[in-house]
Amino acid sequence: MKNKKAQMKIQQTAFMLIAVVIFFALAGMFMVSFKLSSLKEDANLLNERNALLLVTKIAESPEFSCGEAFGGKKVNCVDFDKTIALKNNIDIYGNFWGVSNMEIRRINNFEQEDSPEIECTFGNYPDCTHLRILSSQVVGSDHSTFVSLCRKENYQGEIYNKCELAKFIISYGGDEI
Amino acid sequence: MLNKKAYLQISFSWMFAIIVGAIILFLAIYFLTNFIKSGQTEQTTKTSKEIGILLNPLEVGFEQGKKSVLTTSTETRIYPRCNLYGEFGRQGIAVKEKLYDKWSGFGQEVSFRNKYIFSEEYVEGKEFYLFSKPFEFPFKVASLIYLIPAKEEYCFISAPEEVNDEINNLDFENIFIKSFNQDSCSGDEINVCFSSGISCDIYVDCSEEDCSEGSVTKGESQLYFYTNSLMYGAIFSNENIYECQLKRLLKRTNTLSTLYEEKLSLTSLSTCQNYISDDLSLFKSSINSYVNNEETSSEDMTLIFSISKDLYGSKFSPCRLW
Repeated sequence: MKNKKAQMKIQQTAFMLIAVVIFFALAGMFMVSFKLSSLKEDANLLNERNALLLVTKIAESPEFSCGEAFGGKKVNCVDFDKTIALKNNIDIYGNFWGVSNMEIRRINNFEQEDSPEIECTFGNYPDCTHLRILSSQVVGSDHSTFVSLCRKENYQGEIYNKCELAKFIISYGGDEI
Repeated sequence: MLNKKAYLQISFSWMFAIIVGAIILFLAIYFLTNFIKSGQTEQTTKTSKEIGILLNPLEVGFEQGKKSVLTTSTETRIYPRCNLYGEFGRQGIAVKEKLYDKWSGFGQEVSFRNKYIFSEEYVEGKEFYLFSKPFEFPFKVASLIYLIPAKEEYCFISAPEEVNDEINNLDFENIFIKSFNQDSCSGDEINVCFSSGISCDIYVDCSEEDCSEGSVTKGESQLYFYTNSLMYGAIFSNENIYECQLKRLLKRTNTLSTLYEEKLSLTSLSTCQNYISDDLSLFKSSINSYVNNEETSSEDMTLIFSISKDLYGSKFSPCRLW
């Protein structure tokens, strides 16, 4: 009888301890999931803040910006001639800006809705509609800004600057700046 | 005797409870410590990333100088790291934070390929000044960022007017301007002298009137600069960081030269006649030999600098490239 009572007590203690361990495990899991969700929220917030600044920053970086090549210092101006050269050397840059794709779309007010989309290459430049600078798969969210897209043109032997409106679009996966 | 035996007797359930209880307590303390540690790592990593994002506005625009203030909630040590790995090298940022009077471990290092931070090996404090200047060699290559802790005070003695104006315009609270004739600095500051003859921590020897070329002597190290923006880099950073960032900047200059070469061929075909092709090729090959030689330092950049000056002249050609 005494033996049985002792066995019962051991069982009771064991069950109690198992319950305590399960309680701690559940509390721990809850805390970890809470921490992970707040971490993800923080990461998203940081990425969002970054992306807003990133599109302007990239358009202004020396690889794209007009500098003083088109007379005076221009803000939000992309040098089309330089950018097509960049497209030719994009392998060197790889993930330099930390974006998954970059595209420049020319906006012509006379453009017909059903006009064909022609991607810019060294061969057909400048008779094209858009220039995809990185050809990797588009992932993440898109951000864009309007820019002046400038190039040198020749009319009857005279050189002049031709600037038009374009949209600079980046797709941002948020891996790195 | 019998009594003594009875005194030591502990029931099995008590023994079991004590052992398992101790294990549970040990595990709880172990996981809690790890949890706190990972929390610290998370916080320091977040701070590193935030610093990187805060630097973005400094890199946009044409301004000759931009200032920004970085404030952290706790005492922080920022370690800007530079390495030359890859096509453009990398700028790393690692952070340590002071918690309960003890420095935490490093968080995850956040790295960037398109940032160039000039500072000491690490900077410490709760408030930091960041300012940026464009590096043009001869075309714009990048915006250089200088990181200075607010509590560290500098005293610029006998600086050229251009430098004085720039510092005054940026309105620093920790950089004081003194002319040679005026009272000297209080003594707690880091004295930066633009003329010899007085006891200083840093000497700047300018070859040009506007101090766009010269050398900076700090202790036993001598750093050579070729633009005004590099002068600040040499003043505010240590030797290793300066030499490493300079090579990273030249790597980018080299790639940009390739772009300008191709732009030149593109525009020459249809429109412009530009005669800088040879200079660009020479510029690229000189940079390549400088960057690929581990022994080279800022002192060996004279040839590259003189070609850069020649290229600067092309700015006035009818069909300028940059």
